[in-house]
Amino acid sequence: MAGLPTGGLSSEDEKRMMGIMQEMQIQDSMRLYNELVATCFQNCVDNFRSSKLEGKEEACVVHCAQKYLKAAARAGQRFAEQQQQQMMGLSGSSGSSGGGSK
Amino acid sequence: MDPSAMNPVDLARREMAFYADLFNKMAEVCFRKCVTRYSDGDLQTGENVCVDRCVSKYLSALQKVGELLQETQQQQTGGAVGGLPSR
Repeated sequence: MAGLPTGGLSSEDEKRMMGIMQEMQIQDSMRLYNELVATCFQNCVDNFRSSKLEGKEEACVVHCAQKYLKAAARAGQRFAEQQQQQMMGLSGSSGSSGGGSK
Repeated sequence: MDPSAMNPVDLARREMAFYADLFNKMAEVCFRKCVTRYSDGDLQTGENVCVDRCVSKYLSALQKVGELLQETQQQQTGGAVGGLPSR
């Protein structure tokens, strides 16, 4: 999670912050896992004639999960870009020099 | 990973949270898939069977997705599936 403002914290606070961020990342991974299963199951499985996943259902679930991860990664990239643009916009305002274009 | 994140209480807490979330999502999904009429408040035989099978299929899907995530993590060396914005 780059780009978060941790400057200005004491080293003790920074250590705490790193711990909190790590915990949040772990929880987010777990949440993602459950979210993936629920979403892809919802989209891919429609019949309950048997208690086993059919071949095509299993393939659908796996593909759905793969696409979900890629879409989320891409969204994350765009999000980071937007954030950066915003931050640059804020610091480069009111006539300061050296603010190059992207 | 910071070893202080691996203490048993934190691990147990995370595991419990995970299973609680898993169960809630599974229950909701299977309810939506299997129970569609509300003329009375009891589950019919077909609905019971559907729920049983739904749980079985859901847990299989859980396993498949878990395997995929593990593969993905191994490809991105050393870590949690990071870089995703939280929602």
